Amino acid sequence: MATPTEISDFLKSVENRAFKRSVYHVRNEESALDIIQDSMLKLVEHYSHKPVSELPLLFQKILSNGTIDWFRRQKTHKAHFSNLDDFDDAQGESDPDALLHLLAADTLHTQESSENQAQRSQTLRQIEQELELLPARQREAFLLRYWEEMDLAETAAIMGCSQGSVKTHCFRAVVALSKALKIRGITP
Amino acid sequence: MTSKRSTMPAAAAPTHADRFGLRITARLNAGAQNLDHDISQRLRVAREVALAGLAAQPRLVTASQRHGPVLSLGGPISAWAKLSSLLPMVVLLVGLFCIDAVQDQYRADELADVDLELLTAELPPVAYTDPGFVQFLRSTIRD
Repeated sequence: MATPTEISDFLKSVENRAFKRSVYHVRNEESALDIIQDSMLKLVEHYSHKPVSELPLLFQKILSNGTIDWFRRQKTHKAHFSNLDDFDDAQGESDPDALLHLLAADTLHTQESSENQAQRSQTLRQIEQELELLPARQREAFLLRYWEEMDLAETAAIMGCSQGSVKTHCFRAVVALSKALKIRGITP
Repeated sequence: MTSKRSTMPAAAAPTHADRFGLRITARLNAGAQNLDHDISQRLRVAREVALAGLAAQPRLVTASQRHGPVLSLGGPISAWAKLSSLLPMVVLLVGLFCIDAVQDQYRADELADVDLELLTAELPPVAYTDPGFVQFLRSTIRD
């Protein structure tokens, strides 16, 4: 069973990323804060008896469900939102060779140039904009795999899909981001 | 942002896609570490509110274990609280007693009226043997 200190440390370690991840999805800081607070409350209320090693997966699952619930509520109120899967388009079906070709140049520029703070902020904002433009499932898979460092099985469990679907979503996200950032002249 | 899990996305050697993804998220990490002060404070408050709920949970468990599967106030019950819990029962008993007394009084008054009618009226003796005589008297009194 996780101690209060362990739970506090865990929440402190994930809250910033969780907030940003929610913002990328819902594009509204107030709503993202609400989702984070609800997720924290649910984690503590229902899973505080779990070992601390299980908290990351549980929290990400709660957060994903909270985000989906938010979209459902928005759909109820405004009928603007379609199911997350509806955002998936067919344009991400690029072949692996094309991806490797696109990324080949990127690997040559791993060293940061002498960007100043303003340039780095602008670059970050552009990356975030492209991330927000991704279909929701692709964005979710990408962030869980590469930002939260979940493995395939964990990501699949959180997203409620197969591991193959996770791979597909991640691949499409990487292709789309790579293309978009290359057009903007950004080398991550 | 102190600790992250060590599970890498790729089980084997990272691919180009993995390296690209990790470079992107490294950028995102830099942004996530520099949130506005207001946002950071609100996240801190959210965390503290959640943990306050955690601190409240052991008290609930202790109370239920102490008093069993009953509604518990979670603390010692005072003498006034015990007396006030008996008050509805006392009121109910007094009410039932009063209702019973009033009903008895009604019945006694009714019989007295019949007796009074019998004693004061001039009737033939055979009238007392008439089965409908008492009923006749009652209906007459009510009218």
